[in-house]
Amino acid sequence: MTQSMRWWTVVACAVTVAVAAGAAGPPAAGAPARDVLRLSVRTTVVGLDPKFETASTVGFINSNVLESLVTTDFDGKTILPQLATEWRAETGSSWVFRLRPNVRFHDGTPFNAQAVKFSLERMADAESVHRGDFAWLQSVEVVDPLTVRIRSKFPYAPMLSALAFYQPYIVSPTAVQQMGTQFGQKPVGTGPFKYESHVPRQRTIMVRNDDYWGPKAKVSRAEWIIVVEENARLAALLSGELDILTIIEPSIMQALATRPQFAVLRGPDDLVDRVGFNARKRPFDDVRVRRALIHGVNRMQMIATIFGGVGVAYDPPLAPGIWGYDPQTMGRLSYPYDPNKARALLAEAGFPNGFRTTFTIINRPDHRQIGEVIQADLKQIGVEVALRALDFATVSQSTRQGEHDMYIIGTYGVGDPDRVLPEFESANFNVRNRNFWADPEVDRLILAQRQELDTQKRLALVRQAAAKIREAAPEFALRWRRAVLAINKDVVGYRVHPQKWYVRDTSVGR
Amino acid sequence: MLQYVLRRVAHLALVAAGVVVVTFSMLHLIPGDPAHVIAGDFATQESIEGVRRRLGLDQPLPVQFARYVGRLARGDLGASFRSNVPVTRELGLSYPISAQLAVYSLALATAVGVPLGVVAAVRRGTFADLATMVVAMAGLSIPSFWLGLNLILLFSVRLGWLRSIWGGAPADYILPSVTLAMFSLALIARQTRSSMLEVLTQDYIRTARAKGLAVRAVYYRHALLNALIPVLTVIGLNFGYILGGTVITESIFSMRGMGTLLVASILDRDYPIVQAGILVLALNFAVINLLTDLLYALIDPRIRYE
Repeated sequence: MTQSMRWWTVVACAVTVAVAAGAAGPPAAGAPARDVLRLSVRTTVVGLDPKFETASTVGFINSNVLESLVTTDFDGKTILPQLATEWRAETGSSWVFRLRPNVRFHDGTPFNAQAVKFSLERMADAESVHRGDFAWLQSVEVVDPLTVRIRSKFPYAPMLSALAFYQPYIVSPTAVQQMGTQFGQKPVGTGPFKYESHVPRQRTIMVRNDDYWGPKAKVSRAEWIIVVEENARLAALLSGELDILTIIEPSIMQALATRPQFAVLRGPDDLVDRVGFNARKRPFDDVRVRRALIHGVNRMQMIATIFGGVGVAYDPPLAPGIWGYDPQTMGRLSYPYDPNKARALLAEAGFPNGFRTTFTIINRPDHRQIGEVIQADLKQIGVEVALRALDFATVSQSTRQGEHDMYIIGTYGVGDPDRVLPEFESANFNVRNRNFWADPEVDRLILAQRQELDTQKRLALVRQAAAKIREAAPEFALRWRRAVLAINKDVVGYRVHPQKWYVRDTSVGR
Repeated sequence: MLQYVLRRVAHLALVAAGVVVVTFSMLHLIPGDPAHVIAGDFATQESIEGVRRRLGLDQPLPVQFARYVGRLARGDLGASFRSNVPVTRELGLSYPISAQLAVYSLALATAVGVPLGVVAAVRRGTFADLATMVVAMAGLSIPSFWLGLNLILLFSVRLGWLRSIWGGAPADYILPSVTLAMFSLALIARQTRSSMLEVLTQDYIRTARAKGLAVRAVYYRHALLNALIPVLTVIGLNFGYILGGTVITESIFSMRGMGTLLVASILDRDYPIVQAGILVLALNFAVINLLTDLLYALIDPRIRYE
């Protein structure tokens, strides 16, 4: 008896302790501490150092703490001053930036030309994962404490857009030196918020920077909480534990439609969903086959159903949010849904009975859903598609090596056209060009637009290249996404930006 | 006894060595390069090479392995490829969450499951037995995401008593523990019932009753104690599983337990975290098994280890 009694006592104690501890915990949901903004993030955030992170989520969150020389307006295109107040091109490959005076980093280090040089060179150094994005950068020169000269290796038209992106943030050189490899756990910048704490894969907390050079943040604290499960995010919004859900699925939109306390916000998005063909492999080396398959996919229905009506189909390379997009000439799809035409094109290409192929996707629900719909659509035109669902690391490596037939990839949907055009250059085979399609004339046009500083001339070059790519159809776009967020209506002043999640001007009422 | 324990501890070292070798080889055998993941899908070859150099992945495999073992021998688990955060911190954030989940949910499951099983066995064939087994069946069949979300809907959304997002407070463990406990509870109840039934047919129980012992004393002193050994096995195994990570429950309650950490790290090919995480979990399993075996001896004096 004694032994079993002892054992039972242990169990009983454990339960009592757990329950008692629970009862004594902090107040649960919905406590009206409304100086705090709580946002949910859907993807895991591990590190925050812009030098080592490629995840857009990290760049978006960082936009409240770190700032760049220039930024973009809410359209994602118009360049606005941030840490630079004015700039001018001396020549095509030399720009001078005048810096904002009397700005300090969160650690007290003065912001100056030296910090700009340090930060940009850091983004371009051999250890940086963004080295490729800064291949244009020749040098950053300190002209005087508040003036820098940035030289490019060649005339580089997209420079301002590149500097306004969510990665080339200016960070405190002293903080980087002091924190070393741990800088990514608490980056130090000049923004309206400063990082307070960061638990990788759990939550990131920032507090108001009371010494900010511009308008101060409205809330004293913003918490970014990783909630991966879509239903759990919805529940936490409903229970008042979260104020804003960044990026939501159609199911949440439906659930919120009948609840007056919540609203769905929309805005331009930086993401597109595209499907590419491996043009180096048969039968995708034949443009008729590529066009046939695009005609065979009912994108309108796909958007209406699995995408919940969010987004528009378009012809790559230029999504409607990209500079150079022309609704007049690009507004109508070149290869609309037309299974008869698809079958005719296949027959013409020598595949009257269709063929078998594979579709490489990342093994996650949205990709599987897209894959299944495309599989069903293409079956109608005789093409048997086997889905090849792999994890991201394998997909990335496999498509890089050109092992795939068809594959799905997301890229950019706003800003400068040079963010997407590299995907169609022969120089980028195995890197950004996974269609393995190229054309010498397109190569020339892309290079020319990159180096053309005259806006009108550049526009013409971009559109010429776009027309040729559209004709060759090495890929097709399922949709240009729309950023869709869910908010509690107590949240005031949040605006959707395609590349930044600015919360400086956001407050929480009630 | 002491010798037995020492021998089992020596086995632990062997298990650890095996895990180190197997995990390392498997990680390097599966396709997908950590440098690709870190440098991003659009990275240039140069960026990827840069990452490889920084992480030491440009070295031949035997060199990488030797370095890894060398660091391990010094107790250095390295730093996450993704975050540069020391692995000890990454594991230190996740392990206590999983450990607490395991303790709470199994305590709950045992506290409810054993009595249920006893009642069902003692009142075999009655309504109580049927009801208990229906509960057990439900516990085994209800998927954790369904149960977890419904608990959230009731206690967080409707009543507002508990948070649905784990924030580290003790109360935040209640819902996930209940969610996880259901399955173990069902297993424990069923196991208790069947081994109680078996024990109750033994001669010594009849003897005890014949001697005139009170029914309670027979059931609890003579029967239950002897019936507990297989139940302990079930508890031990479940403890190991929950400690190893319960990805679905963790994700519903936004907890960064071992499951979340390991799955994400495997997808990221974050070798240092996966290697250390698997090692810790394997040792855990081995230690729990050892403790379970020792507990047998404590409960049943007939069991002696040489």
